[in-house]
Amino acid sequence: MNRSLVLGVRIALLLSLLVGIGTAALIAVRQPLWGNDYVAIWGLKGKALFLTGSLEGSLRPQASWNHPEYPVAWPALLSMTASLTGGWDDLRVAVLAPLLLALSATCAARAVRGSPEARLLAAALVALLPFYRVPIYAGYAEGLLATLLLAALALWREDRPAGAGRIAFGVILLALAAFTKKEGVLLLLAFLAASLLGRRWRLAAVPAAALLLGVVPWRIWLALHVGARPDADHAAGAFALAKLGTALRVLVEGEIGPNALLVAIGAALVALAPETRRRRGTLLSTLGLYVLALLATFGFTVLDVAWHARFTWDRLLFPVVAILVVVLAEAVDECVAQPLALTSPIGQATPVPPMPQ
Amino acid sequence: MLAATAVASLLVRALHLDAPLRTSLSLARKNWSAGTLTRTLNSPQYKGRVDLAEAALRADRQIPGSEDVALVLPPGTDPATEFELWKRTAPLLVPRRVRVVNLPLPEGRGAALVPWSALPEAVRAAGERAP
Repeated sequence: MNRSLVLGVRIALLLSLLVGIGTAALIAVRQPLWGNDYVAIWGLKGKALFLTGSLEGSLRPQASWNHPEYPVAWPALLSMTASLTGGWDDLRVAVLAPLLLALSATCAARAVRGSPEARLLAAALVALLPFYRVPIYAGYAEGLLATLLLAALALWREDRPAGAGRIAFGVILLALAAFTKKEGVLLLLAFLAASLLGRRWRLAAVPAAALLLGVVPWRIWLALHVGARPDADHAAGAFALAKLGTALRVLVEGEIGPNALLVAIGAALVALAPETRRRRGTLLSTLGLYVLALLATFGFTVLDVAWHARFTWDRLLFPVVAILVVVLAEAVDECVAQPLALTSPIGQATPVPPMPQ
Repeated sequence: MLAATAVASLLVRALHLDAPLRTSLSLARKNWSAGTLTRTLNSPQYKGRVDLAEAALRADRQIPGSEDVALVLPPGTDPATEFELWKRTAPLLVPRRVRVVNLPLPEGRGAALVPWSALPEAVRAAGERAP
């Protein structure tokens, strides 16, 4: 690419990044966290945690509608923000949403192994990702989950040596992801399975340790204080094969259909980048297993499966797509760089075949 | 080209807000300068139901923080309405537990918030309903 084109691409991506974060900030201040799940679940838990100062206190306003079994990393962050800003105010804690989005974009850029343009592309895509549907889910826990996962990914870039400290910090980030949403737990299980299937035994220790740290203590605490079922929305006895078909139909009609162009672009980019596929094999396997496991969970839902799938699919897939963005940016980089790699670097002597006599 | 299309597709969605930019900016400015109470009463959550917000705020002042609150609704209220009314009152009464109870209400009253201890013993013994 020539210099002016590179500069144009960088400016366009930077502007896209700023539009994403700016719009998220505007929405946060325009309608501070009025979304359904924020009001009924996350904000309620956060406010109770802030006002009582105890984990047990956070369970006081619990009702079946606001899921006592949900982990509390996001409410804890909301509560800490309220403490730091001098009291509970939905508007002030709402500012966390654009801040987390900016952090996610930074982590995505750092996670990409490639050119500055590829990093900017990942950052811009992550910053624009919440707008795949309008209105956006302001105040939901998905933002924190995506940030934690992208932070872990940025920490473990394959071209840097992983010391004990960095591995431990990564395990903590993943444990926090499991402590943010049930999807975090499912992703770690998928990561564990992908590592084991790829016979990467040492790597498998990472999700295993994160699961032990992020899930087991919370489950024990819940059993002691709430006695609630581990999952209010699913039950082993509720399994039906037909539910899987319904969930798949809703996924295709509701998610893949309207986003067919983006899905096709993503698939085409990964198909065109064999080196990225090889390097990110475990990650892609993890995401594939996660989507399959997610689909399987709908077979066990105790709710109306069409309703359950329709109103959760987009949020359940959000962290996966945020991670996938990193892979796609690397794939773009590979596709763009490949033809250039065939030419010799400037200044290096190119062997010239002798002219036939 | 593929990557540019993906970015452009998301960019259009980000720029195409559900309200004109001018309206969004005006609302953001009003929210930023208003107090918590004004913002709460003007939020879409309480659109057309400011009476409910006022009742919840009154109950918040009168009922001790350690006591549960009963959201009394007429018998036969459908679950979706129960949830909507619970969702509007519970955040204003945190950290109290808000429980839905179905009891006949005086003519013209759609809902009432009372301390849990003020309910008849038989109702309390029956325990909470859904929430």
